[in-house]
Amino acid sequence: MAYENAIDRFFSAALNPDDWPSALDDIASALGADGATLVFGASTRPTVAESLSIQPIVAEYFARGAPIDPREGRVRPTTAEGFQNDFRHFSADEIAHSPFYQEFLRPVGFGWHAAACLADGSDEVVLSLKRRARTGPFEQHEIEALDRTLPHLRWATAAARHAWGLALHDQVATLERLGHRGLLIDRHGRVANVGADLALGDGLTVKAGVLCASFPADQKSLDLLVAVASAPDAPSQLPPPPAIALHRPSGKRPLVLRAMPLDGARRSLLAPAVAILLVTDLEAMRQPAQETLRAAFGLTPKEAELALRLAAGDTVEQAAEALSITVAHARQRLKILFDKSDTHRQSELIALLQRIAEAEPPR
Amino acid sequence: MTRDTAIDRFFDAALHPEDWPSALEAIAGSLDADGATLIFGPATRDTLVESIGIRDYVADYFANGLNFDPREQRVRAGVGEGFLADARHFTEDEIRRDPFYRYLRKHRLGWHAVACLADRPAPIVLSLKRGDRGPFERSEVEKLDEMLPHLRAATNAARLTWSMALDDQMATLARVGHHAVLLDRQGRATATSPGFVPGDGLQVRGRHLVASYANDQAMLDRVVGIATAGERPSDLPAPPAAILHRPSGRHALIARAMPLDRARQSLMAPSVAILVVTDLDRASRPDAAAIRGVFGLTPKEAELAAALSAGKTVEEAAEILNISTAHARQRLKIVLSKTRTHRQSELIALLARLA
Repeated sequence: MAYENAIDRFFSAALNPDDWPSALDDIASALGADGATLVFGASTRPTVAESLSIQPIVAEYFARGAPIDPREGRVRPTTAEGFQNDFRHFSADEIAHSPFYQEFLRPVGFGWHAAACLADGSDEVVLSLKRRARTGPFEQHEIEALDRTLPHLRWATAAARHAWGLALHDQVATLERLGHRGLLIDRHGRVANVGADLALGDGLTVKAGVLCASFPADQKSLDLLVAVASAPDAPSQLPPPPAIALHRPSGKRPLVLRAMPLDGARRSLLAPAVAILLVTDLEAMRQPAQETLRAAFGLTPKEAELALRLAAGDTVEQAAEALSITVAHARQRLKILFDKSDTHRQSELIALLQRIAEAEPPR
Repeated sequence: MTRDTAIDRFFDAALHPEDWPSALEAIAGSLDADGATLIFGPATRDTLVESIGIRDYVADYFANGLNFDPREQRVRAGVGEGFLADARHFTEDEIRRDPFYRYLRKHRLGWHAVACLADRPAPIVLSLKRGDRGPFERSEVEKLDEMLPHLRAATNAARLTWSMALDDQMATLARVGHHAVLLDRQGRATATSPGFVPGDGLQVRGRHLVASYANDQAMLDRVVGIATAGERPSDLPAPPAAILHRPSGRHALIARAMPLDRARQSLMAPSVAILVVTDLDRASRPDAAAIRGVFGLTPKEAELAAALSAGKTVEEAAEILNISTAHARQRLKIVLSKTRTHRQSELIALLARLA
């Protein structure tokens, strides 16, 4: 029964991340431990969720600066194995002489652990159950009981990740329908949607998930943008990092990149991405659709034609020539355009037309 | 199949909706039932998933049985209760005589136990069915009730994840300058982006989307209908836009609805489409910092560019920047050169892309 409660709590915290500290508390006591941590992405920049009981200890660890945790190097559980206790990696003798165990863990009352890997790969998830020194180490029969929970916990982890993957797919799809290209960035700053249909190569390439600028001079600002976007504790209230330009060997106008943090995804700890990088191709001018223009302002086809030419950046003279009408005729039509769109000058009209173009899907 | 695993399978299917048929088969098996269905909101072919073993029955049900199912009217399971067996709503006599129950017995599924797993925004109902083994007795119902908290927890957790993900989506759209309204299968609003106050041009009345002008309503309904209908999105041409005129006289709103494919398939997501609303009155101004960064302009050059992109003439911009018109024109030449545009209209069109 207790084990079932542990699994339940894990399930709901996997999807409701604010719940981790209290869920880990419950999981720990259900599994015969005094505390627990869940470490996401152990290898590079780990994010750690701690049970309420452990939080003060961890704070102490970082404040005081404890001796190096020897388990860092040695304890690397994989999904091929079950829970591992201290003796899997250290002899009783090593433990008795380890500064970390004796000078840090014991004095704060802890000393034993059992850890298991819930997910492999670059987004590793490791559950570590901790016990006070006086409770004693996890015995073999206890490890066997813990191992029976593992399939459930692993299943929950994989399922939650999958769900987030689906949701992020939708988000990228919506942006694409609005004519924006989006790259999903994970916690390590790597591109998570490898199949992104992006005209890469001229200005920007992706190599093994790493974003590379065509010009070395642009790489630094690109790296900085990616670092800020994927930083573990990027506060959402701050203004986003400014847009950067990536210049192109072809000589075309630059690509503009902007970072959009995904707060919910980031907090979930299990989502495959934490930010979206929007890529705007300045060379590709977007046009408002004729139908939209006509519906929005009640334009005739000829009025819409003129509006489109102006939106593309033509002067009145150039537009007249392109449409095979006189300049006077074009100016006349422009007056009507102003009237119907409630604008007073060309620059205002163009700004409005561009705004309409922004919401158009790509053609 | 142990109970534990059945709950696991439920959780998994809540997040991998293609797994529902086999998950429900597993759950039915572990609870001494012959089959199970899960219904998300009102029962339609799209919103009902069934265990593998009762596929034929379900197909027949939608063809023939749905019309005369008395349970549709009478059975209202709520989250405050546990599983409800037939005896709760029908007398023995009714069960013996009702044409629908006879229809069920022909399919060897004469008995059921029903529970509500979640009720907002729409109820999610799990129904266990069986035939030859007879009605679910009280002791069996008690056992079923033991599973309920776990199933409800899994359901709520899955829903919450989708809500968080959909909030993220609205936040991202806001950052690129659009408002959004999330829509359910019936085209009603489930959430609006923060900062969007419906009222002028578009209103939300009792969750229905209402255009301020009656003339605009038909197009709005059509746009919403296409996106929530769930047709394969790749077959659709670009979604049409509804223009919503405003009583205030401001520039119109453009509303474009897009299906959320994975959300729709999940069945757990509260919304299946998103209405993206562009406020034409809100000038999308690229800020001077972005212009500087992207084109390498000096602060003063960027200021001029920003003023022009907001629709000012060169003369007006000069006045705002406290320089002579001649000076402004000179500066404009440099800006054109740095942005590789040839005239002001082209520059404005380019800068608008940066907003």
